[in-house]
Amino acid sequence: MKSSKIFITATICIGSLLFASCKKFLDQEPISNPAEVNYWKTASDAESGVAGCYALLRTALNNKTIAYYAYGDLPTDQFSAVGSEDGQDISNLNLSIGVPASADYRPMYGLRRWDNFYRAIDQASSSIRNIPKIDFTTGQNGATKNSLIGEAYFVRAFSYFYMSRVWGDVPLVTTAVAAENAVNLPRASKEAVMAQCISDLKAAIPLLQYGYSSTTNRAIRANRGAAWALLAHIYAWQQNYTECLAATDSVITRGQYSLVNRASNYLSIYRGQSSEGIFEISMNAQNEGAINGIARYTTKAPYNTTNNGNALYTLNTTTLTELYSDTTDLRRKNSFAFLGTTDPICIKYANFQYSTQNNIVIPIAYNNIIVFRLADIKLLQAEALAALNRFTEAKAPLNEIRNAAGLLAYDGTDDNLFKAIIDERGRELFLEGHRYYDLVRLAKVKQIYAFGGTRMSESQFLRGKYYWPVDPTLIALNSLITQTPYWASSM
Amino acid sequence: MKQNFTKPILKMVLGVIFYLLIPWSAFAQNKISGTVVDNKNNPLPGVSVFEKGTKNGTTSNGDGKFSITLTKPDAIITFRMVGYLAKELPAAGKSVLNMKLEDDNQSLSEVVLIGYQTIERKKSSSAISSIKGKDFQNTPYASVDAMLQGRVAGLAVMSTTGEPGANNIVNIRGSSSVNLGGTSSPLYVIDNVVYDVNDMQSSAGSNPLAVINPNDIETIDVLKDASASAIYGSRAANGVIIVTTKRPKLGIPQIRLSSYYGMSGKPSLRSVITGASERRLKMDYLYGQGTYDRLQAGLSQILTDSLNVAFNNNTDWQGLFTQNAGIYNIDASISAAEDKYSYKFAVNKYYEEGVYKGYDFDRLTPSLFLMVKPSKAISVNTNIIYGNSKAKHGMGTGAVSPFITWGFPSSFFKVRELEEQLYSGTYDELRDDDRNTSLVANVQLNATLAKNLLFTSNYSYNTQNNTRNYFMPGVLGDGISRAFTEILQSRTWETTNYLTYNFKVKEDHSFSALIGQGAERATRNNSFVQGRNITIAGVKTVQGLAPGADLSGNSYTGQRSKLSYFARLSYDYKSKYLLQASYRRDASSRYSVDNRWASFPSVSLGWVLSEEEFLKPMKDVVSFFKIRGSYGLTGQDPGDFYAQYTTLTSAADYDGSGLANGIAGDRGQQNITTYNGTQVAYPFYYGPAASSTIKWETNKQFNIGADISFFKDRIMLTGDYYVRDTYDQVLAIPVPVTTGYTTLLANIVSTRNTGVELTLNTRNLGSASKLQWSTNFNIAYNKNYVIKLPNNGREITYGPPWLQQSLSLGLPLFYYKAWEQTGVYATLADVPVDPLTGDRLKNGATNQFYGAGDPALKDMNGDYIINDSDKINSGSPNPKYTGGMTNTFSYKNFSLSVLTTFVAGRQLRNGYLSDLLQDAGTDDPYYRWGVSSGPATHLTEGKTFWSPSNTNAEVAGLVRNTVDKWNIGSSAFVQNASFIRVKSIQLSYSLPQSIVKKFRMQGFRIYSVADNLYLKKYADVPDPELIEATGYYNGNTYSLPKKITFGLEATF
Repeated sequence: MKSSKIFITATICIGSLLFASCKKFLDQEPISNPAEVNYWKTASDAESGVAGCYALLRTALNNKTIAYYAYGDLPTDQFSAVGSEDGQDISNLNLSIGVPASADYRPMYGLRRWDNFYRAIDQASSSIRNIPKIDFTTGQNGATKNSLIGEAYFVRAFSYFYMSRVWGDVPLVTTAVAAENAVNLPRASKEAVMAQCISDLKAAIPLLQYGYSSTTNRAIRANRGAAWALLAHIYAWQQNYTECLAATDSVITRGQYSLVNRASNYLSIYRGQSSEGIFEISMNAQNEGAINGIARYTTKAPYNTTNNGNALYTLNTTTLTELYSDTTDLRRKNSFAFLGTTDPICIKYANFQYSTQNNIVIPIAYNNIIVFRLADIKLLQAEALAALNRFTEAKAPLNEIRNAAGLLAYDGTDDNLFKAIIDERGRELFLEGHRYYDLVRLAKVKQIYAFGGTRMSESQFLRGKYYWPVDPTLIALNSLITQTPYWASSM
Repeated sequence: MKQNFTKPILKMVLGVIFYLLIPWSAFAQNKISGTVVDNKNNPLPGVSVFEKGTKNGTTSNGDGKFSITLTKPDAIITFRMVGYLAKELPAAGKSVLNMKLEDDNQSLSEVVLIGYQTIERKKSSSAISSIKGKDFQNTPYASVDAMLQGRVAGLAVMSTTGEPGANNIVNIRGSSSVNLGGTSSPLYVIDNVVYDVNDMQSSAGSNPLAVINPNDIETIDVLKDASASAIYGSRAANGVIIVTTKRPKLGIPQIRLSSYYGMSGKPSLRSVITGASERRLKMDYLYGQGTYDRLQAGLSQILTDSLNVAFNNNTDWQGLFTQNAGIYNIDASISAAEDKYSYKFAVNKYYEEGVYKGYDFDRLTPSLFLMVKPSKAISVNTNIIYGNSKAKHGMGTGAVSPFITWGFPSSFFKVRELEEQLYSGTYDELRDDDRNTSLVANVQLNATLAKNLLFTSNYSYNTQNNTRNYFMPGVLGDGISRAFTEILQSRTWETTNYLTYNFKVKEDHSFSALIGQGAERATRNNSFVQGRNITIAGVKTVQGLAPGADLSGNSYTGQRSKLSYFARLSYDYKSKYLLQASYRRDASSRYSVDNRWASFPSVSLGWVLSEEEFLKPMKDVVSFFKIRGSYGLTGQDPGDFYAQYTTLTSAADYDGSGLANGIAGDRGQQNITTYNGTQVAYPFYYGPAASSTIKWETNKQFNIGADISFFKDRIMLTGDYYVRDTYDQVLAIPVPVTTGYTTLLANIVSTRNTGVELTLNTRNLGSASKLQWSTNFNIAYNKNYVIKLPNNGREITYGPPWLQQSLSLGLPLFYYKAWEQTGVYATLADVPVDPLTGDRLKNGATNQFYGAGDPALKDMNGDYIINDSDKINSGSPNPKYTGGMTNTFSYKNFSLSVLTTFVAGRQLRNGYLSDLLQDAGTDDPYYRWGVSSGPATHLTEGKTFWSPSNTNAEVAGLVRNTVDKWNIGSSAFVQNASFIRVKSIQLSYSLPQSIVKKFRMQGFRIYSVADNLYLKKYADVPDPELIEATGYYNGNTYSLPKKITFGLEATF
């Protein structure tokens, strides 16, 4: 070959590499990693995106395995001793204890932080923004698209409501922002947060359906009933009982729910998706159960064959005796065991299946977190009516629940009715993540401070102890965040 | 005549022809004359020419010419010159004797590879060190990096395990990795093929370099400063190691056979006291310090009865796992080179059995080199190295034994045969088949386009495949059988095309120019399938399982590409003033369009003072003196293949969740992928967020150095000083919690490595001496520290509370945080008391007060509570000094070389000692000492433990532990990891030519290598080298064994 020929060939070679679509050569998009650039394209993307919202909410409510119950049940008169790391301090509302930043595995650290809720919120905001752009024409109908958007609004509203009930003021973000562009935000007022929740729900309700696209989604996925139930709780928390009443009415009259038979089938409520369930966090599906959660902490043999000692969390026997003074109560009979001993247990969540790993038998609990159910909403309706001094009307739903539980109608005074309804909620919703907030409402409406023990005195309540502190690590990273006032001096 | 052959290849070829054409047959005369040249046919002045066995000799003149009158008719003439290999020729019947001397190693006139080009060492203005393959060949290790320890100043090689074929820590000029436990591996270039070990994956930590036969290596050039490495641009931040394999030598076909066989000895382990004496020792402690009632009630059954038959057991738990093991290596090659073609076919087989049972490493590497020259202007060559290795890893769980230091069993237990098999990984049913295949291949075209203008086109292909099939029967461990197949495949193709042009202006100005372009694409293809509960007898792979929780699998494909342009200009004036400048521009698909291009320029200057007139008179003293300086930029890819993209996850696991089969799912794992049966997808909040602005990390390196030779190169000294700043290192920084993320990856940290390197080569005896002794001594000092951190330089802490390490401005990377232990409280009165509360000093974790016999930890913040806030900076895993010394002796046909290496100024965290003491110093020795080895394991050399009768002790008391006194977060467990090791001794004997010739051989040599013979250490650990990159040592790693081999080498 002649030199010149080689030179020409070489020049062509180099030239072709130089100019032949450099940019295309360098554009590599992910093949195996799902990435945001090629997501939100199809109906099934929307479906799994919204399922992601719920999964993140599930993660938030199971934070440190017990978040839902740690916020809602542990710091109440239901428990006398809580034998898990940081459990006793949570139960006693010693929420300001020091936790080194390196000990990020500690429940006290995790439960004082917001991360998991904002994940659910961020994913919901991203769903709200992206799903409308998706073309659902292939194999899907418009109603599904709308209800997916509605569900995303619901998850966001629920997450903010839940956070605000725990912390009061929290930063308010309603659009998904890329991490690199995010700015530090201060805590928005609880009023603003709740207003955002209400506006999200008002957007959600027309988009949502009454029923479910499939029975497997019953109570697991938000529908109009769930949205009204959430709205009812938001208004009740704000003591806006008029609106609360309207929302409970909507649930009860239009929601197609019915009470489960307390005598024959009471525990089916907690396995999930009963006729009474309005909104539940799915934990009963195949491979989605809990090894370490409220069921493990509150049970023992023979209900949980792996625990031959006492339950890790000890129920307060005094409270049990007082609440269930009428021992014919079907709920007492069917959802407790070892009553009368020093270590009675609640068996609502004792739906175990066992598996063996490392020669160790592992109990796996299949129970949903029952967030809202019909009995809860009926009692909330009673509470609203009682708060509005419509006592006679209030007694109807109260007695309906009492009657179902095999109790006689309420025979107390109208003055005591509100407290009696809160007590009824205590009996009906024992260990269902409601007691703490019920007691806060009781304190606000009736100035009765019944948290049990030395958890919260009147003066502490008035100074706002019922709101959790934020972990100091959040303040260290964002100086705009201020500590919850009650805890500011101790942290 | 010389000027006519400036083209290097032609010059060499013609040189050889010239050499071959020398008229050997001449006539008998007493006077003989001739010319001595080097291998580039440059005349060599100053060569000692002696008549062998006499004092009759002369020296060659400035033109390399000599003339000598012989005293004997059958005289043999020897030629000696420092820097060259000595040669001998019979002078009988000749009047003209021309001699060509071959370079010796470390010579200044040798050629070094600087990336796409070679340069004469004396003309180089960069910091480049070279090692000859023959210096380390036949060292009994699977991979070449393990052989480089202590050989090059500034190249630190440290093993983390002695497992055959395992990975090592290799750092050039210190680590700049800001990932805890991360290392900054240099870029390897093997015969023009970029072999980026950072891209290579392995199932069980195998060393990607182990598929390359170390004995096939001719030279290794280590490019340390930016001017040398910047031509490799974005991959060169950690330095470049260029490996050149052996090329055929001009002449008749040569067949070479070499093999060695040897043994690895049982590694040195912890010493333990066993049987009846173990009980005596423990009972003495307990009677002396224990309480009567605990001795009565709480004593372990195994200790109670002195007549217990258990004391006849003295199980050697460590001996169960170790053995003396074999090593062998066979090399065979055939090669030839002529004018128009050259070839080399080589094959290597290496086998190393583990000194821990159940481990081995087996390699077979055939390779082929072929070059043809179809015309004068064109040559094409191909080089194919196929590597195939197979390894076994004991139990396959990563642990050398099922017993960790904490809770090491007492010798009282008896082991049954099945247990022994199980524990040592020799159980028949276990299957661990870990195979690596790799293909490193390239094709290169060299075309001379015009006079001095050379075009080179290189295409290389490199593929790695690691396939591991593993089966663990249920009886081993958890009762459930487990099998997986993992395939990790990476393939890279790369093409580079460049033009080189060498020219001279007015004879004194030499130029060399290079311009080129390259493209690269790398692909990863991984798949993993795992099955549990395989119940069919005999099935050892994933078979017969129904879809569900017991069967899981995934596959992954990732791809990246890169484009580059590069250029270099070298200039020298009379070989006196040197200039080199290079420029490279790289683009990577990892980054967004705005951030993908980066430039990597470099410049270096050199001044050869010895060429100056004013130094010429001192030529006999200072034979060579060069000062050089360089500055340049290099880069590093910090990110994932898809660093710019936000990735999604399907992980629906939550805290406490579990699959139906009982496997726990933790948040962010991907065991559970559904919510109520619906597949989920959302951004991967649990890891750092992606940032679209992520870009390259940039190294800016300044280097100044000098090369000086004294007394005709008898003493050669090279010194360098450097400052290497690594900017824009990627680290996860906190982001607002409202984003859902905790951290974001951003180019945010900067670190500096600065240090000094010295290399001294001496020939300690005169060239006339029959005994030759040369010494290479090298030492490097490196200091690394953080120069920029986010959040106004706030310290970043890593690791669990008990093992905290930090990145802190001005301090070395990953400084340890620990309590300062000042001693042991002799009496209760010595414990500080809080004047406000009247309470003694308290342990924050256990809430117990310190007492007599407890360690005295400094309460830094004066709150009378010892907790994390009292920890101070106390050492780092980065070595300050590394180096080595090689002494080579040769006498007649014997040669002996001894390599000693050292590392100093490095600290380790002695988890081994902490764990031993946790066990020995338990709060319940009465029971624990029955089942655990406890104090029967050798604890601390020559130190005394506190006891009521010996209150003046260095170590806290053994009995009673209420204040977590053996917590590793104390300065007592931060120890000096320095060591000096007699690394390698090689002894060889070459048969005299007279005998060899009779067997029609060119050479025959026998040799023996002893490795890792002696270790001087300063920490209470078996081997301070074998610590993790984080500096942590747990005592359960695979020890580095002593090895001894015997071998022979024959060439035909």
